[in-house]
Amino acid sequence: MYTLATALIYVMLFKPLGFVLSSILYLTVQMSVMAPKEERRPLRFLLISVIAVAVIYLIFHNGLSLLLPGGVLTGVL
Amino acid sequence: MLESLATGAAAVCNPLGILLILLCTAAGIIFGSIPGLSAAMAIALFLPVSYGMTPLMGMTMLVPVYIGGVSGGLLSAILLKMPGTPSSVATCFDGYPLTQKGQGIKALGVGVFFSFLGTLFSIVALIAIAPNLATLALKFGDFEYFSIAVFSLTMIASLSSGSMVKGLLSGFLGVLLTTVGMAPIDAAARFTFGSTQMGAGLDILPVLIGMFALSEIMVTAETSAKKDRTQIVQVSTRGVKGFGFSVAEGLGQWWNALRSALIGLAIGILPGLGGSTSNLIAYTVAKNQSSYPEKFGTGIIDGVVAAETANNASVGGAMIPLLTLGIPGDMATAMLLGGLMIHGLQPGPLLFQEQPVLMYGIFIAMLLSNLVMLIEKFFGLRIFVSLLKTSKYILLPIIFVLCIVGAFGLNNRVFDTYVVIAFGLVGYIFIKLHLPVAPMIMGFVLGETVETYMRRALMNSKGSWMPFLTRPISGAFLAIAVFSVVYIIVKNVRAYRRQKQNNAL
Repeated sequence: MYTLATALIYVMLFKPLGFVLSSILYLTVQMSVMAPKEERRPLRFLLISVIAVAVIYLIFHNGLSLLLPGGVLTGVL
Repeated sequence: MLESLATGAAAVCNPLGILLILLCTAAGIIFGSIPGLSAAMAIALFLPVSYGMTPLMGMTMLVPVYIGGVSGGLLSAILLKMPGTPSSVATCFDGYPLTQKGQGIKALGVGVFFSFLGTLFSIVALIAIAPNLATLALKFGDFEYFSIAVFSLTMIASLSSGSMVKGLLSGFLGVLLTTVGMAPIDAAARFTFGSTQMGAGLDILPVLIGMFALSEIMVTAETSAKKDRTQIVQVSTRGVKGFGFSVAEGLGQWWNALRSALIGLAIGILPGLGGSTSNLIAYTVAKNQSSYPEKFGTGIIDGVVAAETANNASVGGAMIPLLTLGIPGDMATAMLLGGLMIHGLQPGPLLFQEQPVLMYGIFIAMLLSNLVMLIEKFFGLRIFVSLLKTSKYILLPIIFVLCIVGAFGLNNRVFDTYVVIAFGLVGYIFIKLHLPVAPMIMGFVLGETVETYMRRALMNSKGSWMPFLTRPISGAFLAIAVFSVVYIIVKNVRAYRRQKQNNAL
């Protein structure tokens, strides 16, 4: 059920926070929730999240001009 | 015709053309394999890139994306139980169980190979008999569409493995969901609860992503935190030669493949119905006609063959009305139509006469792209599988983000992402209650067709129901529908009686 809650909060924050921030937040939290206790390394997840979101953003926003919400970071990116 | 093909080939086989085919097929496969991104969306995204090219090069870019996209869906369907595109829903049903049995590579190999065959079949049909098929397609009016949709809905009964009640429940829920939004024809607002967002109805893609991807993530999340060892997708590539299945197994599927290809071609030709419908229907027909229907769903290659041959055959099928009549066969071809029109070309009978090089160039591009897809997937299989060795708890969340990107990018509204969440919950409940998902998807895909065409047909006949039965094609489909329902009832009653007898002994 944590997964559903995390996903729901992600979607709720999608527009206000913007794609980049909400996705990084979601990925880190979701990975931490899903990983077994021994492998739970939040900092590592944060790094993976940032890289993943950066790649996705570059491909879709810059490469294919798909509109994604800017949110807080509008104007920066 | 051969010289026209040769001219077309010469036009396409220049360095740019070859490069485009290689790259865009790969791009299409990648887009197709990610749930949330579909072939149609990929084409839509690549359209602007084709502006600056000549019409033929533009199409040489978009058509491989289409072919790669439709077949790419099987990758995630088989390995992750998430259909990459709506055309690969039925591939999940037997594909994922095969992966669970450790035969993932076989499922992938079968899917890829028969995808190739399916597309090849339909491209040959396209090249050889396109005009004749187009004239036949014109005979299908509103009555016929309704009857085909009704016939397809009756097959829900056979998709309900196990409890018929649960299957019907699921199927009717699917149809009910299509009534959300504005009614066709008279635009009465139904189930909108006053919200404008709901007025547009529910789109298949967010529903699909929610039901399959999010629910799967939720189920995995339940156990992944508890297990000692991290979960990865288990696919063993050891000792696997070639495509992962033997020649004998492949040959044994010939009738299944041929039949599914015909179904895919036929449904692709009908404008409005495409790969998303044909894969479900082909799967159900394969299950009904098989001598071991109870094995469907447990992991046999028949299911994968049926679904993948059909959805790829729909590619060529959908191109037929597009190129001969200018009517798109499905959503992706609608995008291709846009691509052609942007270059100032109007598809239709005249185009063949005015621009033969372009037409035959497109055919060659399709053939080449099909071959490239086969080769790229063959070599890419092992690479793709090793990519999946990433732990599930890292892989699945990233896939979900991509799903949300896809769902959001569809209509640029957050509502669709909420739909994903809602149906994630629905899908999760379905899994927990052991409700079959297949009938619901079938009902959802067909519901709008059934209602729209019934209304249009009735408007056409001024309220009379007789034409449904008197028009030959329509009547035939309805008769088959009734027959198949009766047959299934009789079969079930007999099985029930036999079981009671066995229990009594």
